Amino acid sequence: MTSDVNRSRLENKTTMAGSDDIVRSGRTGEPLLVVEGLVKRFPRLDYPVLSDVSFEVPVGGFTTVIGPSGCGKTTLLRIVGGLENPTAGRIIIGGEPSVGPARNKTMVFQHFNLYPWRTAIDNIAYGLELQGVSKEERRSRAREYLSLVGLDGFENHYPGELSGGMQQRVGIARALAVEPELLLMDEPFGALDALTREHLQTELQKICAQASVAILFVTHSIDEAIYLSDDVLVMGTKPGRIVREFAIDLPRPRWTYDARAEPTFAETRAELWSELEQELSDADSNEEP
Amino acid sequence: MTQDLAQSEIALDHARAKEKRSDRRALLLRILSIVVVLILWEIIGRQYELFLSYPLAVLQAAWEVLVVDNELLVAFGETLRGYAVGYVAAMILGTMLGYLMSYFKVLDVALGPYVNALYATPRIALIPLLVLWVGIGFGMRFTIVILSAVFPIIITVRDGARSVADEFLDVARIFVAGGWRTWRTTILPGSLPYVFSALRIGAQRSLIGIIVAETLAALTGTGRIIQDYGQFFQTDRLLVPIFAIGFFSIFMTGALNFIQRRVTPWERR
Repeated sequence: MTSDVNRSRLENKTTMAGSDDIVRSGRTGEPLLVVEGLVKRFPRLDYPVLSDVSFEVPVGGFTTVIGPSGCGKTTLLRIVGGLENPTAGRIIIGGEPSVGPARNKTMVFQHFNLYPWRTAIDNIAYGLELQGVSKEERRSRAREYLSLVGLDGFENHYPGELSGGMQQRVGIARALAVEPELLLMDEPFGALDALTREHLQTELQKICAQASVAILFVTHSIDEAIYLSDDVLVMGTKPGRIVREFAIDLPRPRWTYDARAEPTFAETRAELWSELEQELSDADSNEEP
Repeated sequence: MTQDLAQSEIALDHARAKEKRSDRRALLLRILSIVVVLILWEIIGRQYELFLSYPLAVLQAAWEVLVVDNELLVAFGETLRGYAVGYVAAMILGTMLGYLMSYFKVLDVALGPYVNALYATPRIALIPLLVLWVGIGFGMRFTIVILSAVFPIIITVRDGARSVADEFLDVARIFVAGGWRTWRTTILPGSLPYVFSALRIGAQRSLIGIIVAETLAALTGTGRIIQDYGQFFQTDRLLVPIFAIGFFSIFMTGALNFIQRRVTPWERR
Protein backbone atom coordinates (compact mmCIF):
# COMPACT_ATOMS: atom_id res chain seq x y z
CA MET A 1 0.00 0.00 0.00
CA THR A 2 2.71 2.43 1.02
CA SER A 3 4.76 1.48 -2.00
CA ASP A 4 1.84 2.45 -4.23
CA VAL A 5 1.77 5.88 -2.71
CA ASN A 6 5.51 6.19 -3.11
CA ARG A 7 5.38 5.06 -6.68
CA SER A 8 2.77 7.63 -7.61
CA ARG A 9 4.91 10.28 -5.98
CA LEU A 10 7.84 9.06 -8.03
CA GLU A 11 5.81 9.27 -11.24
CA ASN A 12 4.76 12.80 -10.37
CA LYS A 13 8.30 13.81 -9.98
CA THR A 14 9.35 12.30 -13.26
CA THR A 15 6.60 13.96 -15.22
CA MET A 16 7.37 17.27 -13.60
CA ALA A 17 11.00 16.92 -14.57
CA GLY A 18 9.86 16.28 -18.11
CA SER A 19 7.82 19.48 -18.24
CA ASP A 20 9.31 22.94 -18.60
CA ASP A 21 9.74 23.31 -14.84
CA ILE A 22 12.92 21.44 -13.92
CA VAL A 23 12.84 19.72 -10.55
CA ARG A 24 16.23 19.82 -8.91
CA SER A 25 15.57 17.59 -5.99
CA GLY A 26 13.02 16.33 -3.53
CA ARG A 27 14.03 18.85 -0.91
CA THR A 28 11.99 21.68 0.44
CA GLY A 29 13.31 24.76 2.18
CA GLU A 30 13.04 23.82 5.87
CA PRO A 31 15.98 22.05 7.48
CA LEU A 32 15.56 18.54 8.83
CA LEU A 33 19.02 18.27 10.32
CA VAL A 34 20.85 21.17 11.87
CA VAL A 35 24.39 20.66 13.07
CA GLU A 36 25.52 23.51 15.28
CA GLY A 37 29.09 24.29 16.29
CA LEU A 38 30.16 20.67 16.60
CA VAL A 39 33.51 20.10 18.29
CA LYS A 40 35.09 16.72 18.95
CA ARG A 41 38.29 16.24 20.84
CA PHE A 42 39.93 12.96 21.65
CA PRO A 43 42.19 12.64 24.67
CA ARG A 44 45.88 12.64 23.78
CA LEU A 45 45.27 14.50 20.51
CA ASP A 46 46.35 18.14 20.66
CA TYR A 47 44.07 19.36 17.87
CA PRO A 48 40.31 18.81 17.67
CA VAL A 49 39.11 16.14 15.23
CA LEU A 50 36.15 18.38 14.46
CA SER A 51 36.29 22.11 14.96
CA ASP A 52 33.13 24.19 14.90
CA VAL A 53 31.30 22.22 12.23
CA SER A 54 27.92 23.69 11.31
CA PHE A 55 25.59 22.89 8.42
CA GLU A 56 22.02 21.98 7.56
CA VAL A 57 20.38 19.19 5.61
CA PRO A 58 16.93 20.10 4.26
CA VAL A 59 13.94 17.76 4.39
CA GLY A 60 14.35 15.22 1.60
CA GLY A 61 17.79 16.65 0.76
CA PHE A 62 20.95 14.80 -0.17
CA THR A 63 24.09 16.28 1.36
CA THR A 64 27.51 14.74 0.95
CA VAL A 65 30.56 15.31 3.10
CA ILE A 66 33.80 14.83 1.21
CA GLY A 67 37.35 15.20 2.42
CA PRO A 68 40.77 13.60 2.69
CA SER A 69 41.01 10.53 4.90
CA GLY A 70 41.44 11.36 8.56
CA CYS A 71 39.50 14.62 8.28
CA GLY A 72 36.89 13.38 10.74
CA LYS A 73 34.01 12.83 8.34
CA THR A 74 33.20 9.39 9.74
CA THR A 75 33.40 10.79 13.27
CA LEU A 76 31.01 13.54 12.20
CA LEU A 77 28.56 10.96 10.88
CA ARG A 78 28.81 8.82 14.01
CA ILE A 79 28.13 11.86 16.20
CA VAL A 80 25.06 12.77 14.15
CA GLY A 81 23.95 9.13 14.44
CA GLY A 82 24.40 9.23 18.21
CA LEU A 83 27.08 6.54 18.28
CA GLU A 84 29.57 9.03 19.69
CA ASN A 85 29.19 12.11 21.85
CA PRO A 86 30.39 15.53 20.75
CA THR A 87 32.71 17.53 22.97
CA ALA A 88 30.59 20.59 22.20
CA GLY A 89 27.81 21.58 19.86
CA ARG A 90 24.30 20.38 19.09
CA ILE A 91 22.49 18.06 16.72
CA ILE A 92 18.92 19.11 15.96
CA ILE A 93 16.60 16.87 13.99
CA GLY A 94 13.13 18.07 13.05
CA GLY A 95 13.45 20.97 15.48
CA GLU A 96 14.31 18.75 18.46
CA PRO A 97 17.77 18.29 19.96
CA SER A 98 18.93 14.76 19.21
CA VAL A 99 21.23 13.08 21.70
CA GLY A 100 22.21 9.44 21.28
CA PRO A 101 20.63 7.00 18.83
CA ALA A 102 16.97 7.57 17.93
CA ARG A 103 14.29 6.00 15.80
CA ASN A 104 14.18 8.83 13.28
CA LYS A 105 17.74 8.24 12.07
CA THR A 106 19.57 5.16 10.87
CA MET A 107 22.89 4.34 9.29
CA VAL A 108 24.31 2.38 6.39
CA PHE A 109 27.83 1.20 7.15
CA GLN A 110 30.90 0.94 4.94
CA HIS A 111 31.37 -2.73 5.72
CA PHE A 112 27.63 -3.46 5.65
CA ASN A 113 27.65 -4.79 9.25
CA LEU A 114 24.93 -7.31 8.48
CA TYR A 115 24.30 -9.92 11.14
CA PRO A 116 25.72 -13.13 9.68
CA TRP A 117 23.25 -15.12 11.82
CA ARG A 118 20.21 -13.51 10.22
CA THR A 119 18.88 -14.13 6.75
CA ALA A 120 18.47 -11.18 4.38
CA ILE A 121 14.84 -10.68 5.35
CA ASP A 122 15.53 -10.96 9.09
CA ASN A 123 18.38 -8.47 8.78
CA ILE A 124 16.03 -6.03 7.10
CA ALA A 125 13.37 -6.63 9.76
CA TYR A 126 15.85 -6.08 12.62
CA GLY A 127 14.98 -2.45 13.32
CA LEU A 128 11.25 -3.21 13.15
CA GLU A 129 11.71 -6.10 15.55
CA LEU A 130 13.34 -3.78 18.08
CA GLN A 131 10.43 -1.38 17.69
CA GLY A 132 8.06 -4.15 18.66
CA VAL A 133 6.35 -4.45 15.28
CA SER A 134 4.42 -7.74 15.08
CA LYS A 135 6.09 -10.61 13.29
CA GLU A 136 3.66 -10.68 10.38
CA GLU A 137 3.79 -6.97 9.76
CA ARG A 138 7.55 -6.73 9.94
CA ARG A 139 7.87 -9.66 7.53
CA SER A 140 5.64 -8.02 4.98
CA ARG A 141 7.31 -4.64 5.40
CA ALA A 142 10.76 -6.19 5.18
CA ARG A 143 9.72 -7.99 2.01
CA GLU A 144 8.61 -4.68 0.50
CA TYR A 145 12.02 -3.16 1.13
CA LEU A 146 13.74 -6.31 -0.06
CA SER A 147 12.05 -5.90 -3.39
CA LEU A 148 12.68 -2.14 -3.38
CA VAL A 149 16.42 -2.88 -3.39
CA GLY A 150 15.95 -5.54 -6.08
CA LEU A 151 16.60 -8.66 -4.03
CA ASP A 152 13.36 -10.57 -4.61
CA GLY A 153 13.95 -14.28 -4.10
CA PHE A 154 16.91 -13.80 -1.76
CA GLU A 155 15.03 -13.37 1.51
CA ASN A 156 16.29 -16.62 3.02
CA HIS A 157 19.92 -16.17 2.04
CA TYR A 158 22.45 -15.52 4.75
CA PRO A 159 24.82 -12.56 4.19
CA GLY A 160 27.67 -15.02 3.65
CA GLU A 161 25.82 -16.30 0.60
CA LEU A 162 25.45 -12.85 -0.98
CA SER A 163 27.92 -10.75 -2.98
CA GLY A 164 29.20 -7.47 -1.55
CA GLY A 165 26.82 -5.43 -3.66
CA MET A 166 23.86 -7.53 -2.58
CA GLN A 167 24.90 -7.28 1.05
CA GLN A 168 24.92 -3.52 0.86
CA ARG A 169 21.48 -3.59 -0.75
CA VAL A 170 20.33 -5.45 2.34
CA GLY A 171 22.11 -2.83 4.47
CA ILE A 172 20.21 -0.06 2.71
CA ALA A 173 16.89 -1.90 3.01
CA ARG A 174 17.51 -2.53 6.71
CA ALA A 175 18.09 1.19 7.28
CA LEU A 176 15.07 2.26 5.22
CA ALA A 177 12.65 -0.32 6.64
CA VAL A 178 12.22 1.66 9.87
CA GLU A 179 11.23 4.64 7.71
CA PRO A 180 13.69 7.14 9.18
CA GLU A 181 13.65 10.84 8.43
CA LEU A 182 17.41 10.91 8.20
CA LEU A 183 19.65 8.28 6.64
CA LEU A 184 23.36 8.39 7.39
CA MET A 185 25.61 6.66 4.89
CA ASP A 186 29.26 6.09 5.75
CA GLU A 187 31.13 5.42 2.51
CA PRO A 188 28.50 2.80 1.73
CA PHE A 189 29.98 1.88 -1.64
CA GLY A 190 33.62 2.20 -0.61
CA ALA A 191 34.14 -1.54 -0.21
CA LEU A 192 32.60 -2.41 -3.59
CA ASP A 193 34.15 -2.77 -7.03
CA ALA A 194 33.82 0.11 -9.47
CA LEU A 195 31.05 -1.42 -11.59
CA THR A 196 28.84 -2.42 -8.67
CA ARG A 197 29.49 0.95 -7.17
CA GLU A 198 28.19 2.92 -10.16
CA HIS A 199 25.26 0.61 -10.47
CA LEU A 200 24.30 1.08 -6.84
CA GLN A 201 24.68 4.86 -7.11
CA THR A 202 21.92 4.86 -9.70
CA GLU A 203 19.87 2.40 -7.65
CA LEU A 204 20.23 4.59 -4.59
CA GLN A 205 18.82 7.58 -6.47
CA LYS A 206 15.84 5.55 -7.59
CA ILE A 207 15.29 4.30 -4.06
CA CYS A 208 15.55 7.84 -2.66
CA ALA A 209 12.95 9.02 -5.14
CA GLN A 210 10.54 6.48 -3.64
CA ALA A 211 11.38 6.78 0.03
CA SER A 212 11.15 10.32 1.28
CA VAL A 213 14.26 10.52 3.40
CA ALA A 214 17.04 13.06 3.87
CA ILE A 215 20.51 11.66 3.37
CA LEU A 216 23.83 12.65 4.87
CA PHE A 217 26.44 10.82 2.85
CA VAL A 218 30.16 10.45 3.43
CA THR A 219 32.56 9.58 0.64
CA HIS A 220 35.97 10.34 -0.73
CA SER A 221 34.92 9.90 -4.33
CA ILE A 222 34.35 13.24 -6.05
CA ASP A 223 32.29 11.74 -8.87
CA GLU A 224 30.04 9.94 -6.41
CA ALA A 225 29.53 13.15 -4.45
CA ILE A 226 28.54 15.17 -7.51
CA TYR A 227 26.39 12.50 -9.08
CA LEU A 228 24.32 11.89 -5.94
CA SER A 229 24.10 15.16 -4.05
CA ASP A 230 22.19 18.38 -3.84
CA ASP A 231 24.93 19.85 -1.69
CA VAL A 232 28.55 18.87 -1.19
CA LEU A 233 30.48 19.93 1.89
CA VAL A 234 34.25 19.86 1.51
CA MET A 235 36.10 19.14 4.74
CA GLY A 236 39.63 20.09 5.62
CA THR A 237 41.80 18.18 8.05
CA LYS A 238 43.63 18.90 11.33
CA PRO A 239 41.35 20.25 12.60
CA GLY A 240 38.40 18.79 10.69
CA ARG A 241 36.20 21.63 9.49
CA ILE A 242 34.03 22.56 6.56
CA VAL A 243 36.01 24.66 4.10
CA ARG A 244 33.48 25.06 1.32
CA GLU A 245 29.96 24.22 0.23
CA PHE A 246 28.92 23.39 -3.29
CA ALA A 247 25.37 23.26 -4.63
CA ILE A 248 25.09 20.76 -7.47
CA ASP A 249 22.94 22.14 -10.29
CA LEU A 250 22.15 18.98 -12.17
CA PRO A 251 18.48 18.28 -12.90
CA ARG A 252 16.91 15.20 -11.33
CA PRO A 253 16.30 12.39 -11.92
CA ARG A 254 19.90 12.02 -12.99
CA TRP A 255 19.70 8.41 -14.18
CA THR A 256 17.50 9.41 -17.10
CA TYR A 257 20.37 11.17 -18.88
CA ASP A 258 24.13 10.96 -18.83
CA ALA A 259 24.63 13.30 -15.89
CA ARG A 260 28.34 12.49 -15.69
CA ALA A 261 28.81 13.86 -19.21
CA GLU A 262 27.20 17.25 -18.49
CA PRO A 263 29.45 20.33 -18.63
CA THR A 264 28.23 21.30 -15.13
CA PHE A 265 29.48 17.96 -13.86
CA ALA A 266 32.97 18.53 -15.25
CA GLU A 267 33.11 22.11 -13.98
CA THR A 268 32.06 21.15 -10.47
CA ARG A 269 34.47 18.27 -10.58
CA ALA A 270 37.39 20.57 -11.44
CA GLU A 271 36.45 23.02 -8.71
CA LEU A 272 36.08 20.30 -6.12
CA TRP A 273 39.41 18.83 -7.16
CA SER A 274 41.30 22.05 -6.69
CA GLU A 275 39.65 22.57 -3.32
CA LEU A 276 40.57 19.07 -2.16
CA GLU A 277 44.07 19.31 -3.60
CA GLN A 278 44.58 22.44 -1.55
CA GLU A 279 43.44 20.54 1.53
CA LEU A 280 45.73 17.62 0.77
CA SER A 281 48.82 19.79 0.33
CA ASP A 282 47.93 21.67 3.52
CA ALA A 283 47.66 18.38 5.31
CA ASP A 284 51.05 17.31 3.97
CA SER A 285 52.78 20.49 5.04
CA ASN A 286 51.19 20.15 8.49
CA GLU A 287 52.57 16.68 8.90
CA GLU A 288 55.14 16.38 11.61
CA PRO A 289 58.61 15.20 10.58
CA MET B 1 21.49 -7.91 -12.48
CA THR B 2 19.22 -10.93 -12.54
CA GLN B 3 21.90 -12.76 -14.45
CA ASP B 4 24.34 -11.72 -11.78
CA LEU B 5 22.14 -13.18 -9.09
CA ALA B 6 21.56 -16.39 -10.98
CA GLN B 7 25.28 -16.83 -11.48
CA SER B 8 26.08 -16.33 -7.84
CA GLU B 9 23.49 -18.96 -6.98
CA ILE B 10 24.95 -21.40 -9.45
CA ALA B 11 28.44 -20.80 -8.09
CA LEU B 12 27.17 -21.49 -4.59
CA ASP B 13 25.60 -24.72 -5.69
CA HIS B 14 28.79 -25.85 -7.42
CA ALA B 15 30.80 -25.11 -4.32
CA ARG B 16 28.43 -27.20 -2.21
CA ALA B 17 28.53 -30.13 -4.63
CA LYS B 18 32.31 -30.03 -4.65
CA GLU B 19 32.36 -29.98 -0.87
CA LYS B 20 30.19 -33.10 -0.75
CA ARG B 21 32.47 -34.95 -3.16
CA SER B 22 35.57 -34.15 -1.15
CA ASP B 23 33.68 -35.15 2.04
CA ARG B 24 33.02 -38.58 0.58
CA ARG B 25 36.63 -39.03 -0.45
CA ALA B 26 37.84 -38.08 3.03
CA LEU B 27 35.48 -40.59 4.61
CA LEU B 28 36.74 -43.37 2.36
CA LEU B 29 40.33 -42.56 3.22
CA ARG B 30 39.53 -42.59 6.91
CA ILE B 31 37.91 -46.04 6.74
CA LEU B 32 40.85 -47.38 4.78
CA SER B 33 43.28 -46.03 7.35
CA ILE B 34 41.38 -47.68 10.20
CA VAL B 35 41.29 -51.06 8.42
CA VAL B 36 45.04 -50.98 7.75
CA VAL B 37 45.85 -50.13 11.36
CA LEU B 38 43.56 -52.88 12.67
CA ILE B 39 45.22 -55.49 10.45
CA LEU B 40 48.71 -54.40 11.46
CA TRP B 41 47.71 -54.45 15.12
CA GLU B 42 46.26 -57.96 14.75
CA ILE B 43 49.51 -59.25 13.23
CA ILE B 44 51.94 -57.52 15.58
CA GLY B 45 49.72 -57.83 18.66
CA ARG B 46 49.68 -61.62 18.44
CA GLN B 47 53.50 -61.57 18.92
CA TYR B 48 53.32 -59.34 22.02
CA GLU B 49 50.07 -60.36 23.61
CA LEU B 50 50.77 -59.05 27.11
CA PHE B 51 51.75 -55.59 25.95
CA LEU B 52 49.52 -54.99 22.97
CA SER B 53 46.85 -57.67 22.84
CA TYR B 54 45.09 -57.75 19.44
CA PRO B 55 41.73 -56.71 18.01
CA LEU B 56 40.02 -60.11 18.04
CA ALA B 57 41.05 -60.76 21.66
CA VAL B 58 39.80 -57.31 22.65
CA LEU B 59 36.51 -58.02 20.93
CA GLN B 60 36.13 -61.26 22.82
CA ALA B 61 37.02 -59.53 26.08
CA ALA B 62 34.43 -56.88 25.28
CA TRP B 63 31.79 -59.57 24.88
CA GLU B 64 32.77 -61.04 28.26
CA VAL B 65 32.86 -57.84 30.30
CA LEU B 66 29.87 -56.25 28.65
CA VAL B 67 27.47 -59.15 28.20
CA VAL B 68 28.61 -62.19 30.17
CA ASP B 69 29.87 -60.50 33.37
CA ASN B 70 28.02 -57.24 32.88
CA GLU B 71 30.53 -55.54 35.19
CA LEU B 72 31.60 -52.88 32.72
CA LEU B 73 28.09 -51.64 32.05
CA VAL B 74 27.52 -51.21 35.77
CA ALA B 75 30.78 -49.27 36.04
CA PHE B 76 29.90 -47.13 33.01
CA GLY B 77 26.50 -46.41 34.44
CA GLU B 78 28.01 -45.14 37.63
CA THR B 79 30.56 -42.96 35.86
CA LEU B 80 27.99 -41.65 33.42
CA ARG B 81 25.57 -40.60 36.14
CA GLY B 82 28.14 -38.40 37.86
CA TYR B 83 29.38 -37.14 34.52
CA ALA B 84 25.98 -36.24 33.09
CA VAL B 85 24.70 -34.45 36.18
CA GLY B 86 28.00 -32.63 36.72
CA TYR B 87 28.40 -31.64 33.09
CA VAL B 88 24.90 -30.24 32.76
CA ALA B 89 25.41 -28.26 35.97
CA ALA B 90 28.80 -26.98 34.76
CA MET B 91 27.29 -26.10 31.39
CA ILE B 92 24.52 -23.98 32.92
CA LEU B 93 26.67 -22.44 35.64
CA GLY B 94 29.67 -21.80 33.39
CA THR B 95 27.71 -20.26 30.53
CA MET B 96 25.72 -18.03 32.85
CA LEU B 97 28.75 -16.85 34.79
CA GLY B 98 30.70 -16.34 31.57
CA TYR B 99 28.04 -14.05 30.14
CA LEU B 100 27.47 -12.25 33.41
CA MET B 101 31.19 -11.61 33.81
CA SER B 102 31.46 -10.30 30.28
CA TYR B 103 28.51 -7.97 30.83
CA PHE B 104 29.07 -6.72 34.36
CA LYS B 105 32.56 -5.48 34.88
CA VAL B 106 32.13 -5.53 38.67
CA LEU B 107 31.50 -9.26 38.61
CA ASP B 108 34.51 -9.85 36.41
CA VAL B 109 36.77 -7.89 38.71
CA ALA B 110 35.39 -9.65 41.80
CA LEU B 111 35.35 -13.22 40.50
CA GLY B 112 38.13 -13.06 37.92
CA PRO B 113 41.01 -13.90 40.29
CA TYR B 114 39.29 -17.07 41.59
CA VAL B 115 38.31 -18.23 38.14
CA ASN B 116 41.77 -17.63 36.73
CA ALA B 117 43.54 -19.23 39.70
CA LEU B 118 41.33 -22.32 39.68
CA TYR B 119 41.62 -22.56 35.91
CA ALA B 120 45.39 -22.58 36.21
CA THR B 121 45.48 -25.14 39.05
CA PRO B 122 45.28 -28.76 37.92
CA ARG B 123 41.93 -29.69 39.46
CA ILE B 124 43.19 -33.26 39.86
CA ALA B 125 45.36 -32.00 42.72
CA LEU B 126 42.16 -31.28 44.61
CA ILE B 127 41.01 -34.90 44.62
CA PRO B 128 42.37 -35.79 48.11
CA LEU B 129 40.64 -32.73 49.48
CA LEU B 130 37.41 -33.69 47.76
CA VAL B 131 37.57 -37.19 49.27
CA LEU B 132 37.68 -35.50 52.63
CA TRP B 133 34.76 -33.23 51.84
CA VAL B 134 32.35 -35.29 49.77
CA GLY B 135 33.57 -38.90 50.04
CA ILE B 136 34.28 -41.24 47.17
CA GLY B 137 30.84 -41.80 45.64
CA PHE B 138 28.52 -39.77 43.47
CA GLY B 139 29.36 -36.56 45.33
CA MET B 140 32.99 -36.72 44.33
CA ARG B 141 32.25 -37.55 40.70
CA PHE B 142 29.78 -34.71 40.49
CA THR B 143 32.17 -32.25 42.13
CA ILE B 144 35.23 -33.15 40.10
CA VAL B 145 33.26 -32.90 36.85
CA ILE B 146 32.02 -29.43 37.74
CA LEU B 147 35.46 -28.29 38.83
CA SER B 148 37.03 -29.66 35.66
CA ALA B 149 34.51 -28.19 33.24
CA VAL B 150 33.23 -24.98 34.72
CA PHE B 151 36.35 -22.80 34.57
CA PRO B 152 37.29 -23.33 30.95
CA ILE B 153 33.61 -22.80 30.09
CA ILE B 154 33.42 -19.53 32.05
CA ILE B 155 36.61 -18.18 30.49
CA THR B 156 35.78 -19.18 26.92
CA VAL B 157 32.22 -17.86 27.07
CA ARG B 158 33.34 -14.61 28.68
CA ASP B 159 36.04 -14.02 26.07
CA GLY B 160 33.64 -15.02 23.30
CA ALA B 161 31.01 -12.55 24.44
CA ARG B 162 33.64 -9.83 24.59
CA SER B 163 34.90 -10.63 21.13
CA VAL B 164 31.61 -9.78 19.42
CA ALA B 165 32.68 -7.13 16.93
CA ASP B 166 32.00 -3.44 17.56
CA GLU B 167 30.47 -3.19 14.13
CA PHE B 168 27.63 -5.47 15.25
CA LEU B 169 27.19 -3.55 18.49
CA ASP B 170 26.97 -0.34 16.40
CA VAL B 171 24.02 -1.85 14.55
CA ALA B 172 22.23 -2.67 17.80
CA ARG B 173 22.87 0.85 19.05
CA ILE B 174 21.79 2.65 15.90
CA PHE B 175 18.49 0.75 16.00
CA VAL B 176 18.12 1.72 19.67
CA ALA B 177 18.37 -1.71 21.29
CA GLY B 178 18.48 -1.70 25.09
CA GLY B 179 20.86 -3.80 27.18
CA TRP B 180 18.83 -7.00 27.26
CA ARG B 181 17.93 -6.86 23.56
CA THR B 182 21.50 -6.08 22.56
CA TRP B 183 22.53 -9.20 24.43
CA ARG B 184 19.80 -11.39 22.94
CA THR B 185 20.04 -10.20 19.32
CA THR B 186 23.74 -9.44 19.04
CA ILE B 187 26.03 -10.73 21.77
CA LEU B 188 24.36 -14.14 22.18
CA PRO B 189 24.27 -15.16 18.50
CA GLY B 190 27.66 -13.54 17.89
CA SER B 191 29.29 -15.60 20.62
CA LEU B 192 27.56 -18.95 19.99
CA PRO B 193 30.59 -20.49 18.25
CA TYR B 194 32.58 -19.77 21.41
CA VAL B 195 29.91 -21.31 23.59
CA PHE B 196 30.15 -24.53 21.64
CA SER B 197 33.94 -24.49 21.85
CA ALA B 198 33.53 -23.98 25.58
CA LEU B 199 31.15 -26.94 25.86
CA ARG B 200 33.48 -29.19 23.87
CA ILE B 201 36.46 -28.26 26.03
CA GLY B 202 34.33 -28.75 29.13
CA ALA B 203 33.16 -32.19 27.97
CA GLN B 204 36.73 -33.35 27.47
CA ARG B 205 38.15 -31.87 30.65
CA SER B 206 35.43 -33.33 32.83
CA LEU B 207 35.87 -36.77 31.28
CA ILE B 208 39.55 -36.64 32.16
CA GLY B 209 38.66 -35.42 35.64
CA ILE B 210 36.16 -38.15 36.43
CA ILE B 211 38.32 -41.03 35.13
CA VAL B 212 41.37 -39.83 37.05
CA ALA B 213 39.31 -39.35 40.19
CA GLU B 214 37.90 -42.87 39.94
CA THR B 215 41.34 -44.32 39.26
CA LEU B 216 42.80 -42.61 42.30
CA ALA B 217 40.06 -42.71 44.87
CA ALA B 218 36.93 -44.66 43.94
CA LEU B 219 35.91 -48.21 44.72
CA THR B 220 33.71 -48.47 41.66
CA GLY B 221 33.34 -46.90 38.22
CA THR B 222 35.18 -47.02 34.93
CA GLY B 223 38.45 -45.61 36.25
CA ARG B 224 38.52 -48.21 39.01
CA ILE B 225 37.92 -51.02 36.55
CA ILE B 226 40.77 -49.88 34.31
CA GLN B 227 43.01 -49.88 37.34
CA ASP B 228 41.90 -53.42 38.31
CA TYR B 229 42.37 -54.92 34.85
CA GLY B 230 45.80 -53.32 34.68
CA GLN B 231 46.88 -54.78 37.98
CA PHE B 232 45.90 -58.26 36.85
CA PHE B 233 47.64 -57.85 33.46
CA GLN B 234 44.38 -58.40 31.61
CA THR B 235 45.50 -56.33 28.65
CA ASP B 236 42.62 -57.35 26.38
CA ARG B 237 40.04 -56.45 29.03
CA LEU B 238 41.89 -53.29 29.96
CA LEU B 239 41.56 -51.99 26.43
CA VAL B 240 37.76 -52.32 26.40
CA PRO B 241 36.95 -49.44 28.80
CA ILE B 242 39.77 -47.38 27.27
CA PHE B 243 38.18 -47.69 23.85
CA ALA B 244 34.77 -47.08 25.33
CA ILE B 245 35.96 -43.83 26.89
CA GLY B 246 37.51 -42.82 23.58
CA PHE B 247 34.31 -43.55 21.70
CA PHE B 248 32.27 -41.71 24.29
CA SER B 249 34.50 -38.65 23.99
CA ILE B 250 34.18 -38.75 20.20
CA PHE B 251 30.43 -39.13 20.59
CA MET B 252 30.21 -36.08 22.87
CA THR B 253 32.23 -33.93 20.48
CA GLY B 254 30.18 -35.20 17.53
CA ALA B 255 26.89 -34.54 19.30
CA LEU B 256 27.97 -31.02 20.17
CA ASN B 257 29.12 -30.43 16.58
CA PHE B 258 25.77 -31.70 15.34
CA ILE B 259 23.84 -29.39 17.65
CA GLN B 260 26.11 -26.50 16.72
CA ARG B 261 25.44 -26.99 13.02
CA ARG B 262 21.72 -27.00 13.77
CA VAL B 263 21.83 -23.93 15.96
CA THR B 264 24.21 -21.90 13.77
CA PRO B 265 23.16 -22.70 10.19
CA TRP B 266 24.87 -19.53 8.90
CA GLU B 267 28.26 -21.00 9.77
CA ARG B 268 27.99 -23.66 7.06
CA ARG B 269 31.13 -23.35 5.04
